[in-house]
Amino acid sequence: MNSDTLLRIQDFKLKIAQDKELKLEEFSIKKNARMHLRGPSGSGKTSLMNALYLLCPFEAKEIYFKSELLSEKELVKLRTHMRYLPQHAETNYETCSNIIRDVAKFKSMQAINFQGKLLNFHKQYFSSINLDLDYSRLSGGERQCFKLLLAASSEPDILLLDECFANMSQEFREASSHFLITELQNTSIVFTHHFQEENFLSPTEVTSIGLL
Amino acid sequence: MSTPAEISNLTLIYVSAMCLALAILGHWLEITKAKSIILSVLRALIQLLLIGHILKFVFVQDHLYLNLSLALFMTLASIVTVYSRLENKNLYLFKNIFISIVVVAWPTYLLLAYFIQVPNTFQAATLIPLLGMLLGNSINGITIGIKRVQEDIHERKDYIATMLGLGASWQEATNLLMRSSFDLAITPIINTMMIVGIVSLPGMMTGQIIAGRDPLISAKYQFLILGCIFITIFLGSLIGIYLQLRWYFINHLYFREFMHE
Repeated sequence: MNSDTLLRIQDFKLKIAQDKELKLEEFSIKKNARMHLRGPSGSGKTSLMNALYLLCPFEAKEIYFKSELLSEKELVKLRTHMRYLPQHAETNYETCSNIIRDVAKFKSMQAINFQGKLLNFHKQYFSSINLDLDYSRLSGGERQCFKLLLAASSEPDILLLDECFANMSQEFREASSHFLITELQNTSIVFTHHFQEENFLSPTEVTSIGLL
Repeated sequence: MSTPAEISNLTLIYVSAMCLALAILGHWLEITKAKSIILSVLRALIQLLLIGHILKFVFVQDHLYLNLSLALFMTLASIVTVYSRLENKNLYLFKNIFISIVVVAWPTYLLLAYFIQVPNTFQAATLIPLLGMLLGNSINGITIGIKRVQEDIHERKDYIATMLGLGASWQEATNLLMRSSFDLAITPIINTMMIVGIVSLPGMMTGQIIAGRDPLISAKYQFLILGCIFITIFLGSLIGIYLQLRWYFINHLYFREFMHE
């Protein structure tokens, strides 16, 4: 296994519907890569993202993380190295500050200065978002940026972003990509979005899944 | 104080008829189904008369094994009642309800029996009515709590997935659901405790007063009972809701709402 490969899954199989299965001979994520998952609607991009974040089980012959073969019991460890922003991500409807405070209380955040980092990134890239406002009062684009801040500020090894740029204005898209490219240089980002936005985030790798 | 008058069968028929008339009124106004009301009234009447006869026999016999058998039957009936009112029926759910009811109601009864200093913990006259009261109340709390989890988890699956995605454990991701379900489960007993003695006198206290007991002694008994009912509902609902939420996460990881089964 290449030393620049962060995650490698061999003979990946995932049931994506009652009679539909997604099969990949090998799926790998390279270190610090910007990886774009491409595929038509219904090809299983979201299901693959859910499976990568271990929200649903999948079959695999072998799973390696940082060159280490993981047993099924060790998969829990894998999740601690990742963050995931699902396509239909939702938070509660409190003020953004309260949401940040709640997320900062998660056990997995105890070792990192999550709140400090997030506030710093907010100041640098998304200062137009008023964190004292209720989440429900933010625009669609502001909500997406806020959720992106929540997911990315812990600077995980792998960040999974499913249709994260939908509903964003050009201004927010630029701020988001600038933020991700500049600040998350040591993070591998896997993202899905529309074909016309494919060059967004300057992907270093494009993986096609399903029938094209 | 005078002893209460004997209630005639005719009186029972009058009360039943009034309830049935309301069922028909409700059906006519299209606000409820008459069938379920009629069934519940008839069931309540038949079940109470039947248990009256059984208890009469059991109290006279007052045999340890007979008392325990009846108590076990009541416990099983409580478990089956909760199970039948919930969805997604499976062995895990049954076990969950079993634990929530048995682990809490029986020890609480023992505690109550100790407090009221009954000469024989398993004598029919205390075991059957007191355990019945604890079981009956825990049924409501546990059913309401678990039902709320079953109903809301699908609706909140995106929120829960988002929290998991942000690094939450399953317990942290479902904390809001845990809180709202638990709150719903214990609200009735909290309300009861808030108004007891001001707006209403509970059934047991009323029964004792009508039977000629000193109201102050009845009130102290009632507080003991109410406290133990609260303990049963609180712990039973807490265990039931927690175990039900845990069921949605296989190996503390996979979220059933995201699985294709």
